[in-house]
Amino acid sequence: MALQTDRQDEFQDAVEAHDCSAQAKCYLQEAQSMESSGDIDSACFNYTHAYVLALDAGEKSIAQTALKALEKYGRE
Amino acid sequence: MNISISSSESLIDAKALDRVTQAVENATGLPNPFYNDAGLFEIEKQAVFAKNWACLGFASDVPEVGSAKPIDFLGQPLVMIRDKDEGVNVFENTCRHRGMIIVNEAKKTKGILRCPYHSWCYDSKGKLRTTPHVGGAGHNTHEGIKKDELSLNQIRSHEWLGLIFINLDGQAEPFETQHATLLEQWAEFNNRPLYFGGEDSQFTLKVNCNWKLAVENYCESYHLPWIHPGLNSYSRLEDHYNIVEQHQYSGQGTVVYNPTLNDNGLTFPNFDGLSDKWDTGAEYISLFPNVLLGVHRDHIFAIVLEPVTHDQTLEHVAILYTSPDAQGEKFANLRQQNTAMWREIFEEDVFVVEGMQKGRNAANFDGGKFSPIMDPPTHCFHEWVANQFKNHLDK
Repeated sequence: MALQTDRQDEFQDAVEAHDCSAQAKCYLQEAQSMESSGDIDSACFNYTHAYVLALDAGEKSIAQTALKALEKYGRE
Repeated sequence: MNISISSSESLIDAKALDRVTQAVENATGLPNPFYNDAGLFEIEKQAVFAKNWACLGFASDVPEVGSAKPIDFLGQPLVMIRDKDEGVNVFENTCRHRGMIIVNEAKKTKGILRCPYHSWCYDSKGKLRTTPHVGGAGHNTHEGIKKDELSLNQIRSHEWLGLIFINLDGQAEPFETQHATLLEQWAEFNNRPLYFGGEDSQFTLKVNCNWKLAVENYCESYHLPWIHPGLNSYSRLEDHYNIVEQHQYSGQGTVVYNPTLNDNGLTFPNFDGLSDKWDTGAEYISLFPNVLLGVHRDHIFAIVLEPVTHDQTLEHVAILYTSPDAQGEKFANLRQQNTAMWREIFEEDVFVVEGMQKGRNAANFDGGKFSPIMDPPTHCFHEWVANQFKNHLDK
């Protein structure tokens, strides 16, 4: 994942810690940034990972946000 | 479950099965290959286990909503999960995508089973929730992927007395129908909450014998004065009675159950409202094919037999109590005493079942002669097994 520099460390820490909640949060933030910049395909890639990891971690709010975005773009 | 069995079926002597199903006075036991032949064990998986309600494990294995436990049962990779409605579901532990094992170890999930390979996600009722990137990066749908048709393959299951039963072929009568007689016999114990004693109330014994020998030894009282001499001081052979329910279960009961365990005057609480029978009564039943049960007024135990090979069996033991009080620290010492007592008794049986396994290699052993008085519970089980094979071969 090509994360913005200020999220890269946070993401790597989350991966190393197998922390799905933290990873979902990083992916969601990245997805929202991509969506804002108009890169919908990259946004949906990141929303997908945010959704899956949030489901796994029981992060209902993140899962719901990601799912809504994916549905909006016809990806889920 | 389809297994190639044609070469092994020739091992089954139809006339020998007919001898097994004679009246106990005239019958002989199951022939040696039923105990020491690996090919026949493969047939047994289909003829005996898949067609009936086999016991998979304990409800306490998945104590909370979201708890999941993988279990390999007779070579089948399965997973138990407690769903959001607190029911227990059993599925094939295999992703519908590439056949990957989904759950590798017992764990508490958030209600989602995520395949570790491509992250296809299923909910606790087996429904496929999402298929990430299945239509290309960031595209999670495809017209060829119909999620409604790709739920986890569910195994029919039923929870009773703190145990999870499964019917692998899905064709057995409902559990309540197939075991209506036992449910009536033990009606006083049905639908009561049971409280697993916890880590100090479970253990597993590995025995080098065919699973059937554990069933046979458990269901009769004939051996008690010889193998468990400690019982003779308070529980004589004549204090026991046979339980024989043809085609279903067998076992034995006692009329002198009188628990002596106490911890500074503390004893286990009894179930409320039991009839007088259980003041001094206890019953021990082998519910065919593979669970051994003991009920008493102050606790229940179950031994789930896991056949590993034709000559190796795991005996998973758990003890359940009548009240949540019995789960607490106050009763820890008493629970440990009770577990130790039962463990000692069950371990006393190990040399017997392993000895019978070795004895089954004697070429001229014909399956054995039953005592018409003491062995009807054992014969009942042999007859049941023989009939399972007869039914299998007839189809």
